[in-house]
Amino acid sequence: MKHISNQLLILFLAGICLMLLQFFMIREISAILRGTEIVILLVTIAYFSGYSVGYALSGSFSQTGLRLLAVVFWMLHITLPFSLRYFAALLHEKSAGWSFAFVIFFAMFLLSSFYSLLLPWFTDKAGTGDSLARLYGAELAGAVTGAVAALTLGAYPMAQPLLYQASLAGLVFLLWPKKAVGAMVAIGFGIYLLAFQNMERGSLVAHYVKSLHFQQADPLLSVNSPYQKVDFVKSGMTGKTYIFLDGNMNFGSTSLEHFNTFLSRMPAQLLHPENTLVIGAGSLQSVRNVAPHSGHVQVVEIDAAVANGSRRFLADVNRLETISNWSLTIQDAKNYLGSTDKKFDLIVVDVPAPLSIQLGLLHSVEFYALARGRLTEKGVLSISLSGGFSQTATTPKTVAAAALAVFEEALLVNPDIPGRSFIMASRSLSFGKEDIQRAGLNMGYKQIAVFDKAEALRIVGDTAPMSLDDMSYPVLRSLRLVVKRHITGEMP
Amino acid sequence: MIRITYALLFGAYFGMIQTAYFFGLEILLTAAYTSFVTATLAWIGGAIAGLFLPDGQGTAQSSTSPAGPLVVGPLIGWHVAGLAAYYITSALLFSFPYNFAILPFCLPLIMVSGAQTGHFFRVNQPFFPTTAQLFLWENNGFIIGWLAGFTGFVVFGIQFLRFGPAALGLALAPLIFLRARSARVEQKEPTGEERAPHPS
Repeated sequence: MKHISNQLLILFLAGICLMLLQFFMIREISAILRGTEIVILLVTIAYFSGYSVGYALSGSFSQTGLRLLAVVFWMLHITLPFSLRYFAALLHEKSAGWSFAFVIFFAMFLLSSFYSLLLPWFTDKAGTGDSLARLYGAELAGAVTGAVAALTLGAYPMAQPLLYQASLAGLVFLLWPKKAVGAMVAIGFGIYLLAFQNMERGSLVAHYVKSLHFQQADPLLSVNSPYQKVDFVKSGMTGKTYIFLDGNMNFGSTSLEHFNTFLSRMPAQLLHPENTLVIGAGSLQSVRNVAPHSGHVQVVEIDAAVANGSRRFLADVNRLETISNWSLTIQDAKNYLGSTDKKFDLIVVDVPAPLSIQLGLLHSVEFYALARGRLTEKGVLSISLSGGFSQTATTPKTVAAAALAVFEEALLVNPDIPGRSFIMASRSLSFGKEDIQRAGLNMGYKQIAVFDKAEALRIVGDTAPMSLDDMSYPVLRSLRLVVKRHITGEMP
Repeated sequence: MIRITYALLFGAYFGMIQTAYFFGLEILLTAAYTSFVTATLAWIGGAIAGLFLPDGQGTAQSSTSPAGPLVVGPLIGWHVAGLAAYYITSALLFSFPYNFAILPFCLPLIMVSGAQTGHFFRVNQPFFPTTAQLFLWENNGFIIGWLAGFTGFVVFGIQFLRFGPAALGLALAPLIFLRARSARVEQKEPTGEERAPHPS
């Protein structure tokens, strides 16, 4: 039988595929499992374990066996990511635990293993004399190409999967350069291209209906940004638009609208700041809340996909066309605060709950200290405590502990909204408890408990804050959530 | 046994130092993808360079030549260079936080650490019965090191970035000498496994 030639090109394409998988399929899988730090960790470990599976199996295949494996693998992967969404959704309906186990199994054995098998197979079995340096170098060069492509193409919904399928089709044909194989992968790619929009939409609907319990779902946008999977989904029942980041709801419920009222509108009304900074764009509703009361609003958001999606699909919520005194900077908040000379009268931290280390860093002592340094003398930092404040609520106490450790004065606001509480902190607050309660009444909220710093500290007790010396809290919280969602099923 | 331990522990070291680079950049420079991507590309670029640079082993180690003697000097040299590169990068990040001007200085340093991995594969391949075994054990170690790096940062925070890579890096130095000595023994008295015909 004729030896496989073009090893360098095959490995180059394998490198592209591996890196694209790492970017778009790990995101996809994390979103299916509703990505938190532990989910992303498990999926990433499963993905890298797949490399070991490939290395361990590489000696077991003859040339014919390898070619057949390539075709089987292609047949499986040409259905991605749709089949995985459909299958996980179907399984989720029966049992969230089985769905979770299946997806992790898939990531471990059926995602990366085929590609990692190729390099040792060529060096150990084919024995064509090409050095490891040349072969491995080709695979690494492919990985570089894949990384650059993944990041530059992420904003275009079809681009990453299409490039992946094109690279895989090319790889299979080079491994088995027969006309029939070439025709098969070319036709397969053509069908994939033609069916993409329908399959993408259908599988997303299945995911949102069966796994996330939407009655009807209308996916408006689904992209893999460099940071996360960003979905904008319209509910067919209520007509409301939701933002999902890595499968977790970021905006959409009525409770989240109340959230924005307390987080941004109330402090802006109380302060009438000249310069306001909003960290995290989300729905951009915060801009609408603070702009009428502010001289200028600066929004800092790390993920352009979220901001662009909100401009496009949440125009009725943020009404940006009516606001002119705001600007948007796409930048990491830590980097922005650490490098700007500007001072702000109000800083609103509108970021999701600390379910990952990256988000934990935005709820840490050091981050609040950085924000404090960018506040004017009477400037206020407004943050959400990611839950209702009480003696037994660990997350709100942990977040509050960090803010209370940094600021001289603080008022902790616990309104009559389930699962919501907030802190307004400053070197020197220019308003008091009564002002908050009065403002709340004017907004239609009858019962608002407000604690001053001393009262809040008594409730927080010895709860340790998140800090650069201890980031265990978001990981432990994420672990508990994974257990509740996927193992005990306590949480839908 | 020493071969497998060597590949496993060096894989763990590569996983840990890579994790430490990423956490350091995320915390002290930016969480934006620019730092993650440039670090990834620099690491891979370094690995490619490490595969092709002279390995310092005297005879060219390749899949087509038998294993020559394992010279300790270059192994220690790359190890020290990789670790030093990490600590110089750390020093830059701690001294100039959130300053993008240091990124061009960090990139070649990350490449040096990445180059150690390329050198590792190139030098060690002839000593393994199959390339698959070398990659398998290195990758298993990489996963362990990656997990250890993650756990280390979660539990010990920024202190882990200061001490973790040095602790494992220094602990591995004696293993380099042991590995070189063991390679000499392997050369003199090949075991059944080593006598198995090399695939190429």
